[in-house]
Amino acid sequence: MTLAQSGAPASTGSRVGTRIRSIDPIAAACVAVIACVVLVAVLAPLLTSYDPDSVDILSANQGPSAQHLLGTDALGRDVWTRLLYGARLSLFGPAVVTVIATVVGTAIAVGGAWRMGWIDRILVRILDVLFAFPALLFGVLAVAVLGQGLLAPVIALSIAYIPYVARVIRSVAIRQRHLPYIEACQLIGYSSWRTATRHLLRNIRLFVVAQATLTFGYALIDLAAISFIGLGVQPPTAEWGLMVSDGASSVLNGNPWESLAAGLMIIVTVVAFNVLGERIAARAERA
Amino acid sequence: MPAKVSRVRSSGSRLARWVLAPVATILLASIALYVALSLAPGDPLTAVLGDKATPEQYAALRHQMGLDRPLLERYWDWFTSALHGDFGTSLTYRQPVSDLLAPRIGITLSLAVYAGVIIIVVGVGLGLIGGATRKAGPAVAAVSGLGVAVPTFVAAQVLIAVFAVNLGWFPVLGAGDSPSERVVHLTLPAIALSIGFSAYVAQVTRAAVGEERTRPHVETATGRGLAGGWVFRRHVVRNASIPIVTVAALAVAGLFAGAVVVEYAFSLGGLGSLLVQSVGAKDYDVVLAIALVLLVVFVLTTTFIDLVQFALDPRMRKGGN
Repeated sequence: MTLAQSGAPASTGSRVGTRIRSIDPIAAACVAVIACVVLVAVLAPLLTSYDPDSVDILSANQGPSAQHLLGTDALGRDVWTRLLYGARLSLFGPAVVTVIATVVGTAIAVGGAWRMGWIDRILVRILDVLFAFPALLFGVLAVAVLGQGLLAPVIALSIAYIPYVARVIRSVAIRQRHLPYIEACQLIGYSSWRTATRHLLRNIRLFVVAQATLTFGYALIDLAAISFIGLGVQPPTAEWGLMVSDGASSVLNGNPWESLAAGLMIIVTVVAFNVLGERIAARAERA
Repeated sequence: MPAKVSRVRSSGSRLARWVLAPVATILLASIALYVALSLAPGDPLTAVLGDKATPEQYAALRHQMGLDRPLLERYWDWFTSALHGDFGTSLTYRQPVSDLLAPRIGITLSLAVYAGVIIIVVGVGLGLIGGATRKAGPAVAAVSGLGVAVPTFVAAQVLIAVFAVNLGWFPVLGAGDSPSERVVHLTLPAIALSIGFSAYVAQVTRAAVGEERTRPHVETATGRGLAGGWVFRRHVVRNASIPIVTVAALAVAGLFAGAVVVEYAFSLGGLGSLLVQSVGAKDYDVVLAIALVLLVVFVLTTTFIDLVQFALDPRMRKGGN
């Protein structure tokens, strides 16, 4: 028993992975897209010979050419290079938000579903109020308090996305709570902690993964939006939302490449995360 | 998103739910907001006086602005004056905040109404088509799946590049003066703002309608030989209306947050772009005022959703399943 259990967590990740890949080609495509974007972020220096921040006024505002695949921006920086390097911060922010929101949201949901009673009712009420307050606005107000940069919006969105995770996981956890195996665990004499973490949580893990995947997509859009309005990542750092904003003046001059390329990266990445999240959620629902 | 079924029996609990709870939410959230912004690093006095002020001048201004009083007392003063329309003075504009808000609210409101109409027509319309017919279902799912992933600010740049710069059909910037000019000026911003929300409403509508169509009472109605259109209107749409109204209202509330980004993208002088500017300039009285206005909008919307659910769902009134 103990042996089987201690061996299980290590194999869980790969089993979830192979199951999705062998069955669902659409999910496989999403995983491939996400893997590509992550690789691009990691291998950026190998995929370009330019420096993302080096200014070259003489070759500013050029269209796409053999030298500059996507042209240059208003300061003569290579757009392709900035797109590759921009993937780093564009993905890092949402990753932090996703981890915090998922861990805290799941803990609140399972805890609330486990204890029920007035704690749960208060939690639900707070979650309802937070839910109605748009995450984006929460991020903007956090910048007012903590100042411009990635830190304030990342903290704010981590909090703002907790109810999105918690609401779904809570309803799933309550369903599980009434299943016979929970009673069986308690009869054997397992502690509540052990039953909740090793058994209940294990049974709802696909739902948690699905919510985390969906959260990543939404967090990416919101963080990019905050950078777009100038309150997030600050110039000259490359980040996709900021690039859409940097390219806005060139759009008016008929050279939309910087804005469009960065915008396309955001859309492709978010579609991949959203579709993958929905596929996993559908799978969790069927299981 | 399944509709919440909770029971409201006595008039006392109705009062608590639709009057006291929203008021308590506004009070608590505005206290949190006020305290958080007061604790923000950086001193507003330095911004006014500059670096060369003497400690005496500093203390005098501190007293004059009331900053030496307890935080909650200052909050209460601010909140009660805000209820009377006095939101303090902007540090950057050196004008009463209410004078700054008044002309800008109209722009944000017309943008939100314009986008709200698009969301309800396109979002609910697409969702109904996708849920009603088997052929259109996957197409609607694909279009709305793509739509939710398009950020407002990316849509804005694409619309500007295509319809304003290349085709020249619409003006690029500004909100226009006369009402007819304003409709033309706000068309691209409203489309940019509504794409993601329309797609989201379409997704939820399609799912709700699709789910209702397979329910036993609908199959019974069809089996009894009732006309397809009648069954769809009376049995499917009516039951699916609760989640649809819920997301549509949430989307309309979300519009005001989305407007922050869209107004910035199109250089519209509304509440949203004023908020962005004031956050950047640490003009806290303006930030507080706009945040309070938006907070009230959101709380009213959630209360409205709750009331509509109550009106649409007889289970909530009768207090049983």
